Amino acid sequence: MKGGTLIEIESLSKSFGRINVLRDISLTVALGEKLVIVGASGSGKTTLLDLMAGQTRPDSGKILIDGRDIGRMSEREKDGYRKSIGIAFQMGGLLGSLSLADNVALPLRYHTELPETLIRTIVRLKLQLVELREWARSFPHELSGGMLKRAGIAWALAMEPRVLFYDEPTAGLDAVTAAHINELMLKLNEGLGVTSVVVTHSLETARRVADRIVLLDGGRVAAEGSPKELWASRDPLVEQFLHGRSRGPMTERIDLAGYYEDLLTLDG
Amino acid sequence: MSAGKHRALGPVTWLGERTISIIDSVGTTSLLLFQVVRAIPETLARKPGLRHGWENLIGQMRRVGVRAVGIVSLVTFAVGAILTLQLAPIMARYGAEAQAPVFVTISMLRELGPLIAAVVLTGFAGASIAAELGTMKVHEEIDALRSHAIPPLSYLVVPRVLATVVMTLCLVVLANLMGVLGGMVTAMLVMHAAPLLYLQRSFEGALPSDLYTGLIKGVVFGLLIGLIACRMGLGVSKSARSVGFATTYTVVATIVALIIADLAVTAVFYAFER
Repeated sequence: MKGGTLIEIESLSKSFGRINVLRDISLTVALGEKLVIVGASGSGKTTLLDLMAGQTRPDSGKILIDGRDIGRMSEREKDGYRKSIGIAFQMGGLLGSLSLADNVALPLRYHTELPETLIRTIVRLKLQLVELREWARSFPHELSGGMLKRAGIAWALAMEPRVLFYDEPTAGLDAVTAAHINELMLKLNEGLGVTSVVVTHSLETARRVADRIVLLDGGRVAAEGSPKELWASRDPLVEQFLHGRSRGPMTERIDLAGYYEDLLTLDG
Repeated sequence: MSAGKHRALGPVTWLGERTISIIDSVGTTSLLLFQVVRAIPETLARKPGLRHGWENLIGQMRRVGVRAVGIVSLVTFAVGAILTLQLAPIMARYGAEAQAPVFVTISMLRELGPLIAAVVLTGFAGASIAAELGTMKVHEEIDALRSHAIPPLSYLVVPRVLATVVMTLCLVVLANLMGVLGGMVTAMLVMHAAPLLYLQRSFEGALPSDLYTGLIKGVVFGLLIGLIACRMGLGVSKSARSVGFATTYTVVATIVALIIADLAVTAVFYAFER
């Protein structure tokens, strides 16, 4: 852990209809830390990120930031919280009708009364951070997948966030571009002191970026530790996930209850 | 429940589901209207982002209305011409051929101008707004806006609804003018009517209330087009298929809503004018 606790999650649960996506999750994020959340598809990673970023409300439990529960904030308070964080979306999230520079400038124009010349300077600085300054006038559809992810990060950085949430930052990228994004995340964390919460499938990203890894399975925290601790773990579930085995505790839980009844009662 | 009984209840279930769906659509559209009205000051009078809000509105007005100018002009000019060709021989039978310009003008001002402008705008703006917002939802753009504490309601919905209302009004005025012009040109070419006399007769017979009725319909139609398109676009689930469905459904639902609203507004005016 780096500094004091920035985000504290206590007994967090979230369901969609009858599906319990997160069950009784408790964890903390330290100031300046790089926390990577991994897990199989459907394990609840993105839902956890959405909850931490104030995008959805939990069914029960608390998400405390500076001691204040996000779930109990009014919309106005939540907007204040949202201005203090940044989310780099899986597909970039950039507005297709605006150029890259106008996308990055949008929150500054919307929330501040900064003069236009200063806004343009800030935009150039943010785009330089992600090495896209020369693409400022381009539109999102003119960018490659890796550039879109970097542009999404620049947009997330617009309001000087304390925490940056990354949703699958390297998904769908080749190894070289993914390595570039991993380096960028490290650079932003170290250079700007931004706390980073990364949700990813990529073990390479987890190993390279994380101070600490949380492995989610079936909506619960299955394991937690530094990359070194996790890769040394003998827990069968952790081993199955890290080594990508098709057989193991993660895949042996397929629920057959009611399956035979369903087969026999099919009436077309 | 047995399969036979289940089948017998099928039409009842279908009717029930349709009824609930219609009530739900009316309810959510009314709620959206309330939210839009409440968000207008936030969008256009809030100090930070003030210039941005107006630029966004003007941009939407240009986008929503300008493309429809040509087609509205063409269609309403043709409708004015058709009305003249249809009415003139019938009115001649009753010796009232000279009254044809009045009927054409009143029909355009009260009914056809607003309705044709709104239907054309539904195809241009309604479908385009629903497809655009739906695609934005699929591409996480709406989530991204929310993550920057930029409410999609004031950034996306309010400018589109206001732009649709303002541009529908402008197109109604244009449609009225082009309809009367179409009638006049046809009367000149086919019936050798004097243009000034045609215009004089047209406006002698039409009352200011005929114009207001059409303009009020224009406001109601513009609201319906903007609100239904935004509701359908934002209601898209994160799949490409649902964008196509939202676009098609927007056009169908809006045209049905326009006709029903037209009937309601006409009935209200009838009650007042009787």
